[in-house]
Amino acid sequence: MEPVRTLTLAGLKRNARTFAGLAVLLVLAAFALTFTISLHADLSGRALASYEETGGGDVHALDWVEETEGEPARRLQALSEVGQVRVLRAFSAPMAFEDAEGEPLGESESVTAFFEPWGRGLEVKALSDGFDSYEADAPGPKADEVYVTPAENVLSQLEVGDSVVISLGQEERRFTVAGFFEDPQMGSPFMGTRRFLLDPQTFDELLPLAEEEMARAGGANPFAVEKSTYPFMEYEVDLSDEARAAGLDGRDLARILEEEGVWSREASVFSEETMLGQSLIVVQVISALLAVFALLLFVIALTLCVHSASVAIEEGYADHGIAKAVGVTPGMLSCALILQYALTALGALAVGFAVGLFVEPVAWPPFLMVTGVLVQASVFPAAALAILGLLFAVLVCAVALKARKIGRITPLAALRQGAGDVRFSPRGSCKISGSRLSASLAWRAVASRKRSYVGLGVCALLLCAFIALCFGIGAAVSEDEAVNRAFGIWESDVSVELVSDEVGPEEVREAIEEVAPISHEWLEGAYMLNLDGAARTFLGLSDPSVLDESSLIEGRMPRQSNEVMVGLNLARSQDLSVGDELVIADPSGQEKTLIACGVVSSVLNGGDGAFLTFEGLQRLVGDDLEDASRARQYQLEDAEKADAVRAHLEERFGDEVDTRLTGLFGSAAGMILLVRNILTAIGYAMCAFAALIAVAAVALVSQRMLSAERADLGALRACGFKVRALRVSFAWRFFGVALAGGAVGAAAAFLGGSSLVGSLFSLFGAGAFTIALPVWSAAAVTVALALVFAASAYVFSRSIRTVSIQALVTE
Amino acid sequence: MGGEPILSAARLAKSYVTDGVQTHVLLGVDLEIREGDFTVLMGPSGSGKSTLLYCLSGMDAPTAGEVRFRGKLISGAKENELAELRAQSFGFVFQAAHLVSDLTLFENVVVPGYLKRGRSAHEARGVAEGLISRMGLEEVAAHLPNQSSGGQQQRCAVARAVVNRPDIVFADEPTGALNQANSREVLGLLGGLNAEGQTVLMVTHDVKSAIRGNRLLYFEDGAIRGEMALPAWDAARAEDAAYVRDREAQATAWLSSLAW
Ligand SMILES: Nc1ncnc2c1ncn2[C@@H]1O[C@H](COP(=O)(O)OP(=O)(O)O)[C@@H](O)[C@H]1O
Ligand SMILES: [Mg+2]
Repeated sequence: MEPVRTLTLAGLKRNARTFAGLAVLLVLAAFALTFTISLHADLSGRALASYEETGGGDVHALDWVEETEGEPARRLQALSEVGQVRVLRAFSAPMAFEDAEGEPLGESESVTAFFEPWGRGLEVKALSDGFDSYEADAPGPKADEVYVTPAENVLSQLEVGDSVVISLGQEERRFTVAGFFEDPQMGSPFMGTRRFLLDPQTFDELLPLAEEEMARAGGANPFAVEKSTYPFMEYEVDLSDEARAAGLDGRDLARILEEEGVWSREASVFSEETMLGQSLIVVQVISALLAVFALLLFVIALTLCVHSASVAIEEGYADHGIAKAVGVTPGMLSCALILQYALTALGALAVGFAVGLFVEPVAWPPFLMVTGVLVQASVFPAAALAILGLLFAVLVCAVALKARKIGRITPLAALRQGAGDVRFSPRGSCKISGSRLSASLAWRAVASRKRSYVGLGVCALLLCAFIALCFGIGAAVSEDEAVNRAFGIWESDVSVELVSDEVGPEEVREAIEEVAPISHEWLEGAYMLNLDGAARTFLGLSDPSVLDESSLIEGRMPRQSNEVMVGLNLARSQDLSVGDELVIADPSGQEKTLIACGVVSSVLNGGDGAFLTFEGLQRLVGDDLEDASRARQYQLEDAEKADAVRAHLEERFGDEVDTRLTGLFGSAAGMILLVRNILTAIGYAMCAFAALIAVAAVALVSQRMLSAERADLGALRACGFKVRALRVSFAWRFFGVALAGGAVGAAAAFLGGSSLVGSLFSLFGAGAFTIALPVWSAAAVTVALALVFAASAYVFSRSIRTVSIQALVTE
Repeated sequence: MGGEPILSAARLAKSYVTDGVQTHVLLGVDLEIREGDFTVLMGPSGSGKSTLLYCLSGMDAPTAGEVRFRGKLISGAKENELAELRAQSFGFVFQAAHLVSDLTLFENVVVPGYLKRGRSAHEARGVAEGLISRMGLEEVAAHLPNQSSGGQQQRCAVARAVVNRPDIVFADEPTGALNQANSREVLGLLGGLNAEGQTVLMVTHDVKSAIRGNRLLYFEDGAIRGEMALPAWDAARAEDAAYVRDREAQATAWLSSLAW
């Protein structure tokens, strides 16, 4: 083995710079992969662990108290699938946020928010102010204090010291935010339901007020997305040990409970899997994006490894031949070659792995804002190790395949000095022109050694496709309108609730138009109904065209009251397509049949929502929509005028109208802003990373090329070519190759980008997500990338200066 | 023979430092190259002939002393000025052809031709075509260097050296890697060009090559140690054995007087 050792070390030493370059690329790839995979593992692992630690049930349900008090608990105990059941009283009430100065914070609050006593429900942990550790002995809220989840901070910028104002009938109670807590069930801004914790004694005082208020209102439904006051029961239902042993999970339990008719029709039921899935959606999407990127990096590193191995074989042609002539076996030579790459890769992957693990905790705090869960320790990075191991094997195999070539070198052929490394038909190739000398020399150089440039072209292709994709996603979410289109939502600029019958919709419309023209006017209402044991949002829209046409994946918008347009994931899980029937039980338990008229790409309920006409929803849920039918939503031609319109309405109608925003996606805007910011940050980081990789790839390839072409370059210099001219010509080659590769990549992104990103985003319902990649922008990305290639080639070709012409004077 | 001095060196010195050991190769060389001459620089192998040639031609920087081309100082000139000088006024032929591997023989000649000032690309092609046919390379003009023979490559290199009508052609052992027949052909080409007025400075250690010149210089131990004038080579008598033998005898006698 001694000769192999010597050959290996000699090869590593001779091409030290090449191996250093490859190592850098592999370190980056291993870093990105380790970071992504272990971040995903840690976030989802912690979310699950936290869910278990706090004592969240396999099924979580909120149910109306009045009709069902005591009932569900009894029915639950009777079921063999059900193990432990924990029941807690809670109430929901209209509320608003104010900052320390008493200024309103955040926009509309159309989510279901409920209040619970601290310490009686889940065993939640308080978070420190910086969201970076737990507050071990947090006192809990005092009488006039409230604890909230980090989601409130994300969506409404709520901070310690701000206030939550709860309206209970005539009474308004003000609570100071005293701290944040980790809530694995409702802590993510992506959950539509959110939890607030009060001092238990205060809670006990307020609960009767909520009951009175409900009695006074005559029993409106709390789960219609309206601001009503309501007491209810919260259930944490666990599977029995036998059921768990039989392989049932939370989703199964939710379905069984539904079938058994445990809940009232208004209950809002979620399985543990659904809740965790909801809070991890963004993590999934971002991990997928990052993983694609990391794999891309690896493919580039692999391409360059294989390229460099084949160049090494070509360059060492004579050496190999001579070595064979003196009796070194081809096996030893290949072995040495493979070892060089294997050692480099092993070292680089190890370093990248270590750095990835080391850096990963940096991402924990920002992701707390997304998942609501604090990560403090890593789980063993088994998945990252396995994947890196696999990739290592792929790399070694690829080099080994190349190394087989060595076996075919005969000493004689080798000593004839690798004739024919320049291969092209002079007749078929372009003329060298006098006026474009640098460019045509560059073109000739590429045409003559096409194979050397293939790897580079592939790099440019992959990088360009990826950057174009990033730009396409970024542009698609850059403007508010575009965001709405991309995610299948809409916003109302002005909401007007007609408090009394004194004022009619016509007068309101006229008053608004005095200030700003209206582009859309509609009624909207939302209702949670259970389907297969899980709560889904059913949405009624009097004018479905507020939803952009481009969100339609199939069919059309609902027109008749028995038509329903279903979200992408609902369509998938129920196996619905246009024309199919959807049978749903209304609040009174009566089954109603709806016809699916379309499939829509919308983040409503994470793709599990359904759209009806407003009459359709009224027909379905009846009187519960009373309030909604009094609240009109308006979109203005110029959204900037909304404040002016509100002021005008208040002046004109006073207390006859309520102009607080009640639009359904008021808080979704904050969430989407968050997603957009994350995507933008990641996009910039990845583009910078990609440019870095382009530079590294050029460094690798150009260094090899320059050393192989020393004699040619020297000859050209002896003819009087200036160093600058040769460097420009060298840069032209890379520009051309990158332009060609990049153009293919950009075209691929242009053609297939939307469906790729769409399938990724269909995780949360936005399956028709269209990247905004106009041709000019794809072209600009391509040219910019080609310029990066060219500029780095120009910089790296500095060494042409040191090509001494005397090197041509062979002794 | 011997027109105006075109290139001159004064007290030219060059030393290399390798592993801390200084080697003095040129020890104050004074030399003039005159327009129209075929000057031959002879000397033992390793004596520093190539070093002198490259210091004279601005390819290498002397340690001390100066080189003037047409009265203008070129030692210590900037790299870009030197490149310009090589493109416009100097031509080089090396021991190996050193053609650019991905250009055809014709392109190897025409590409430097494009660099000549005051000449259109069209004219450059015309000149290159003329040279290609003069060098007898029409058949292989569209071949790549690795598809043509060593002799063809070296003739191409000669054509490349003169495509811009340089003031001086520097040739460093241009026949060193060729067989006899090819050597004679390349020397014939250089001689023919000289007969038309081309100034040539050629390094060789071979007497058979050296007799093509009209001025022979002997270089040893860092300085020019002797000089001999010969009548200009008469191409018409190249096949005349007596003529050749006579010139060789003269050169050999001169060299022996210098303890060659
Ligand atoms: N770049 C260099 N570094 C060190 N020594 C050199 C270098 N180039 C040439 N020499 C030395 O200078 C001396 C002259 O070399 P050279 O001019 O090539 O001789 P000649 O052409 O007469 O054979 C030799 O001893 C050689 O070893
Ligand atoms: Mg020499």
